[in-house]
Amino acid sequence: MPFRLFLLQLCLIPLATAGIATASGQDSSADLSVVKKWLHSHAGLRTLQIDFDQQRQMRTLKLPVKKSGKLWLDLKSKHFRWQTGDPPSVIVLNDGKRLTIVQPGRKRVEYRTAGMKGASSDAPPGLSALASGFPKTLDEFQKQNRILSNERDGDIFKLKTVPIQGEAAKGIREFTYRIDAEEHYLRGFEIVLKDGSKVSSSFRRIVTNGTIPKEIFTVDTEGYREE
Amino acid sequence: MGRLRIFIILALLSLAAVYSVTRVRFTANIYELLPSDLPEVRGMDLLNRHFSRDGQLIVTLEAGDAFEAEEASASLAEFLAGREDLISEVFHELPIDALATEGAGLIAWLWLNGDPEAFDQLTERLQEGRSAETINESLEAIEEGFFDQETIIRSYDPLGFTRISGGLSSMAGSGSSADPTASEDGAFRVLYVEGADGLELSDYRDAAIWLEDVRQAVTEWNANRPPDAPAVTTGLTGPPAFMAEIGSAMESDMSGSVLTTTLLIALLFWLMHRRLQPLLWLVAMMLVILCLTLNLGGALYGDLSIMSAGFAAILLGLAVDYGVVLYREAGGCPGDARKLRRTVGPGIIWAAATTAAVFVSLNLSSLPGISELGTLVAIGVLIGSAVMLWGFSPMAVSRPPRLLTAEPATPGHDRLAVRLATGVAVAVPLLAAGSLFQRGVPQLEREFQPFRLRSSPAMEAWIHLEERLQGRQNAAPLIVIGNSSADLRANLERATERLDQMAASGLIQRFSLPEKLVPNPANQRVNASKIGPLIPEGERLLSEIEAAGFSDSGAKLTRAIFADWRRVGDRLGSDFSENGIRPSGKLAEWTAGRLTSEQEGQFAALGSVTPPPYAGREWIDETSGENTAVASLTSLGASLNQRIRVDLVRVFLPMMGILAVMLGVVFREWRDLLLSLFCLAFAAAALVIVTIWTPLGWNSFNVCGIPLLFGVGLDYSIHMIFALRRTGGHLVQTRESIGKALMFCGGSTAIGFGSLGFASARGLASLGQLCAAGILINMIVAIWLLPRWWRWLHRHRIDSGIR
Repeated sequence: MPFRLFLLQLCLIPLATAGIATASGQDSSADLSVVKKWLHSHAGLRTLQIDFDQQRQMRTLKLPVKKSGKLWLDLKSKHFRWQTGDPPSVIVLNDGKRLTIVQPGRKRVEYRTAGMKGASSDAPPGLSALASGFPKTLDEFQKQNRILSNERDGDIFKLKTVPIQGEAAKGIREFTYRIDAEEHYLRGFEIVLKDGSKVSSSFRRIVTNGTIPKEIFTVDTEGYREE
Repeated sequence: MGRLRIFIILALLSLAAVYSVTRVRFTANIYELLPSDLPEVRGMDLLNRHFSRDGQLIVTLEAGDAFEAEEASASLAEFLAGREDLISEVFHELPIDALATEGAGLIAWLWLNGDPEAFDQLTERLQEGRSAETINESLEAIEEGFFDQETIIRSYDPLGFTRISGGLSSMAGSGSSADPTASEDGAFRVLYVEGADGLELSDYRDAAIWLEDVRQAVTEWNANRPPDAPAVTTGLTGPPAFMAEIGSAMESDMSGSVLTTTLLIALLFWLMHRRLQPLLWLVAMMLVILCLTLNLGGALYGDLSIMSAGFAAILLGLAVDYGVVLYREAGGCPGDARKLRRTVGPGIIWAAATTAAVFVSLNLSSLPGISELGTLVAIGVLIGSAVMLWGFSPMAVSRPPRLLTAEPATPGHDRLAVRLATGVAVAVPLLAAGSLFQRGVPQLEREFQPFRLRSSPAMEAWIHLEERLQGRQNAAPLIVIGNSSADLRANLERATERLDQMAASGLIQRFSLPEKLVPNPANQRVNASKIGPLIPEGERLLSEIEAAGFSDSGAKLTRAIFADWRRVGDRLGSDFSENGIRPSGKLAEWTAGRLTSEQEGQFAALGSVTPPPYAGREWIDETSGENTAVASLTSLGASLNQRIRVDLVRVFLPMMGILAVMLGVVFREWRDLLLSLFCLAFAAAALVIVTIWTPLGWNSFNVCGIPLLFGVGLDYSIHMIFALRRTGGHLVQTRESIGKALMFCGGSTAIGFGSLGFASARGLASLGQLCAAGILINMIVAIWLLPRWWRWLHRHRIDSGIR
């Protein structure tokens, strides 16, 4: 990660502070009952399987990038698998200790330490938080996030927040959770980075507390080149 | 002489004294006051010389969380940058897109300066055909990879210029400060503020004015924030803040202690003599002494240090004694100043010479700060004796004191007093021994830093910054020097080898050295020859980037790097001096300037080294060498203590031996010799009790006061024993003559030292407190206890009426 090291060590500047969040204070008037119900639903969560569509709008690219992917998460063992493409072009495995990033098409594999400093930024925003245990109460949630607003938009609530702790706080300008207004589950999220780039994810299918075969969290990387 | 004339003279002399004090130039460089051969001091001196810029102020900001801190620091940076009358640049966190352009200068330079083989690989990556492949790989990583920091960075750098081989990763990986602009939790931010162009801040008074202006600007920014904006705490630190604080503290210490001492001495004189004109004249003479010594000291040393600020008060406390002695003896020579000088002059001159010698002996100390203090007091004491003999004696003989007639002592009362004195003589040493047994021998304060100010917002802000910034905790600056950039690189290589071994053996935890930031002219020449042919490829590469789908922002870094290389090409031949070229561009220059430096032909690189917790000094000795120094403040205290212990043995023991021999010659009587030495031991025991049971402790600085206290103690005991011999042990008579004189002398000297108890520098304050306590103990012993002990020792002679 030379440029990151370069940034940290030499230019001495982390990811960015190009923009400042538009709201400066916590919105105390927002109706947070839906949020509380959503967070409370995590209490009984053991496993999660999600099929998602993602769109990236990078400031550095002329056109947005669209892709689909899947996520398997076992909260008990803190294992997760995240992959995009079909067949998968990138697979990321977390066994609670290390991240394994596999590119089957290129037969490449890369290992990173998970759970240590920096690991949270190695995982997609939100995923690392899910893996390490998502907040179950509003208090816990507000220790990590500033709630800017919570507005109903059709059949969802848009909970607009700013992370105030950890690596996420350094790079993210806004993190909007899309919560189902009736069932109180997460239907997707949208992230705006400080350089203006955006990523939005919509969950097509969500399965909670289903059985996840152990093989999901392994990939045969024999013959792969290690990065 | 009429009172009006005296008042006028006094007013003029006061003005002259004030002028002299304000004319004094103080140096805020405290490292010159420490033993320069200590590795830590050498490190601090090098750090100060190479990496401390007068005009760089550090503004710290802390908020409740990262979000609030970021918002506030960006707002403050914008506000300060707008104050062009005060500030030229504000460095803080930059947005990634701004970084892509401003950081490009450093990346371009690092390729120019780096390994030519790595440059060959880059050249290969940029060749037609291969470059498109590299760009597509980047695009794929951006599209398929995590939406993380690295992906975003790669999107700004499709050709991988930032993947610089070796160096940078090894530097960062070795664990030095990760981010000097924000704490890990983001709630603490740092802004580096450069003074406006043309601003001269080498003088602490100018620095103080500028600092105050910046402080007001920060206050104004805070006041103008929206009412619901979260509260933030700000701090100012860095070289100009330290300079302003130390310089102002010195000025205030000197003027405050001089004023306090003068007033208290005048009050003491008034209480003892109740004569106005001699009092005013005495004060006038003290001012003359102060003016002369300040000007002479200024001429001798140039700039005075923070320790010298204390000399004036000590000097006044000592010099006034000569005036008082003259005054008390003036009754015997009414109207005849010459006779008074003949009678008292030799004694005063010898006393001044002895006192000056004791203070000059402080030059044997390893602390240049205390040596300077000693020399200044010694000069002042000699000047003081001359001024009093020729300036004060005419007034003393024209208005002699009204001396009281001695009353005979009551025999019963005297017997009780002798018994009491004998009891005390046994009790105090026993109490001291008991205290030592219970609490142990008092130790020198382990991490005492004598020149640190007792109240220093700049130091508090600095310590907080060190605690909050990641990687700064427990790390000490490591400086490597060389005579040329080639020499520096060679020394860095040697230092790296040594430090690797030390890290392997566990002597240190980690280290970092910025070897890749030192200009390498050989690499630069080779790489520059390769850059030339690459420059025309720039437009093709930018077209390929655009064709692959990258926006203008995505091509920004590449464009900036090629622009910088073009500038390098233009400088080819003119700037490739022996020491190579340095990075250009504000951010690049600022970054490189923080880690490498060239001053007066000496080249330096700044790294860091982290010892294991609770490490001793072995790692300092192992790390330090001819070209390597560690500026470790934490080990400085222990190092100073070690040096001072050696000093004490080296200075104190020979001094004690010489004094014992001199006492033998002076007294020619074993009882008086033993009594004099017992008085010293007794006073030392009393001081030990005080330092064990009160907050007053020992440190590397105030322990240097011990020789002064012994000198003063001996002086008092000699005066008293000779007076007792003259009067045949007549207590009342002795008390009325020498007793009162010693009371004034002890009181005035204690006032002089005591006024330093409130000095800003912790060392000076503790020296003042300890010496004031010690002098008062010596005075009490000499005036009230010694005469009784002397009478007990000589009871047979007194009983038989032999004088």
